[in-house]
Amino acid sequence: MFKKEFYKFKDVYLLLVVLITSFLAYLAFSLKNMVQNFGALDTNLSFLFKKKFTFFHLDDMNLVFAFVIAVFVFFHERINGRLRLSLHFPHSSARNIGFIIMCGLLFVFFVYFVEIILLNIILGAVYAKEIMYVLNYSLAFNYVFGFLLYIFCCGFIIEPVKKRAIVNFIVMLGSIYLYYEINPDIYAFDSFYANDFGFYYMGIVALYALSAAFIAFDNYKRGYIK
Amino acid sequence: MKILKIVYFGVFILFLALFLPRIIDTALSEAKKNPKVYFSENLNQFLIQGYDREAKKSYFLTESGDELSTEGFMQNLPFKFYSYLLAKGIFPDQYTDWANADKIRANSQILAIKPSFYNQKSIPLFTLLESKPKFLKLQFNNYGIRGKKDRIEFVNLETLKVDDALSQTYTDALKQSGFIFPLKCHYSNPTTRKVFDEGAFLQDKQNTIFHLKMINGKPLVKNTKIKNATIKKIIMNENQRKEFYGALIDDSGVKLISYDNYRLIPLPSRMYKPESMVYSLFITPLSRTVIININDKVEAYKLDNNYQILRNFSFPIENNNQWITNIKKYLLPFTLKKKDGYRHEYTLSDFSFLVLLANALFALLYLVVTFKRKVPILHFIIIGIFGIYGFIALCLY
Repeated sequence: MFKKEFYKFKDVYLLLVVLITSFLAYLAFSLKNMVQNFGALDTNLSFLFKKKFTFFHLDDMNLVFAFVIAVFVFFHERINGRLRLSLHFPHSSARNIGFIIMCGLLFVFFVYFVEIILLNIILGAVYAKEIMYVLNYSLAFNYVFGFLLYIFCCGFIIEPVKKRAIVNFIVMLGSIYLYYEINPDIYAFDSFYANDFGFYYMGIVALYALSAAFIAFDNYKRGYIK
Repeated sequence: MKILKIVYFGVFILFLALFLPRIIDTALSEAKKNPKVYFSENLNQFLIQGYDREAKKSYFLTESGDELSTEGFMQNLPFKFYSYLLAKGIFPDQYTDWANADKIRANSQILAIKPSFYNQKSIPLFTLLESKPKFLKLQFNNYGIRGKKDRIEFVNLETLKVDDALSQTYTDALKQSGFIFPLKCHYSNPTTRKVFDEGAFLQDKQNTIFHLKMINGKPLVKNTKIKNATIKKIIMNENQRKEFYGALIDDSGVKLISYDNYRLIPLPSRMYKPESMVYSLFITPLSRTVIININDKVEAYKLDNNYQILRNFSFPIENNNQWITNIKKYLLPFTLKKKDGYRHEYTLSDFSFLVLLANALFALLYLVVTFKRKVPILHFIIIGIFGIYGFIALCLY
């Protein structure tokens, strides 16, 4: 079953994994150069006092990754009319919808999980644990928003009512704006811990994204295809 | 499904309350150009430097309203524009004793507290510079210092290993001075671009402030006897005048921590909100002035040598965006906006009852839009409460 789902986005998934790996390697080599040129002390101090650190767009790449996988998952369902069948599997509606959403999401989760472990190995060798907390918090926030983007895609791709699909798309754009305001790259932070309350707001955004997704599936199932 | 729809609708209204006011502000508001106020020792008056939006040029005024030319403005602020005046040989004659850039610099000090600086939360890891460096040049040492439950820990930032011996030495020194662990906060000025180093101020469990310095690698700890549970920040400002270590900001305002046994010197700070206003203390060889940029005015205080207020002056700031504020008051029932502070904390604010008329109009408009359709009365109640937000949400729903 999982294998069948994977075929929906196999090529683009592998391509994006290669891209994320390249971004990760670039970050690792840049850090290595910085430590070689300036020393670990200066690397730590410049983080502490100048917020001199960047993920080199790895965080943006994570969001793009989740978004693209979601587009492939849900477009595939929508275009081939596959959804009409899967929504009528002999299970509860929530289980059917959950399966469609969760399959792709698990593949995204796997990449994020491996990435954060690798990043902790790479960055943890140089930065003090207080700094690692800031980095991990920012990354965790990034991953959670990646998941939300994935669910948002469901809200505007599956939704058959064009007006609502557009509204969901606009809310998604607003959420992206909000995300970058709360959790930009480290060097662009107004202050460390500026994203302290970020998870509360993402919780509210998650409520919207999940509601929009379930409403979209429900509308689709009812056959309101415009 | 009904609950999901309510959640969907509710969050969308919050979304509108966050973005609609921003869109209005971005589209309609004009950038503010705050005037600057200085004290002229020559004229014994405050001078104002501003920008005339219509004439598109800067203007210079005295406190009594007389206009000044750019040259006149500069000549009347000899301790601000001394480099230019000395280079041109037009430094005022009555201050010939001070006609030396180094001498002026050695007797001047500026302490500016900006929101961008105040609204910072630092990582709980700080450094101590060697206050008596061997080669006279200030340098960072290899250690970061973190507070633990019952000690401070020196972690070597090259190897990330804890130096137990050094940690113990400094912990013992602090304990002997009466420091109660854990360390609550640290305040320092972590830069090597200063004339000398005054170490760090540490706040202990009982909110007492201790002064910690590293001298020849060894700790020097002093109990300042400052005990204050409402300290928001201490801003260190090492200066060769050696009159004060820096400024302490607490609930009651701004105070200087003097070199005279850490005596606190209160400064005028009525109406001052550090999260959103700029506070400046200007010390020249002949004057001491405090300037506070408040939203709609600039408050200026001339102080004597003991920091007592001699007189004050207030200059209003023209608000070109008042009409936008009015529009929002009549159109938006509330807004969701970011509170001043280090983190992004959004709160519902600007509740307005003046929107009731607009809400009624939106309800009427909704009636027209949904003409000949069966609409539940709940929709009109929603528009009555949430106004434009409810109207947009219902139209798109």
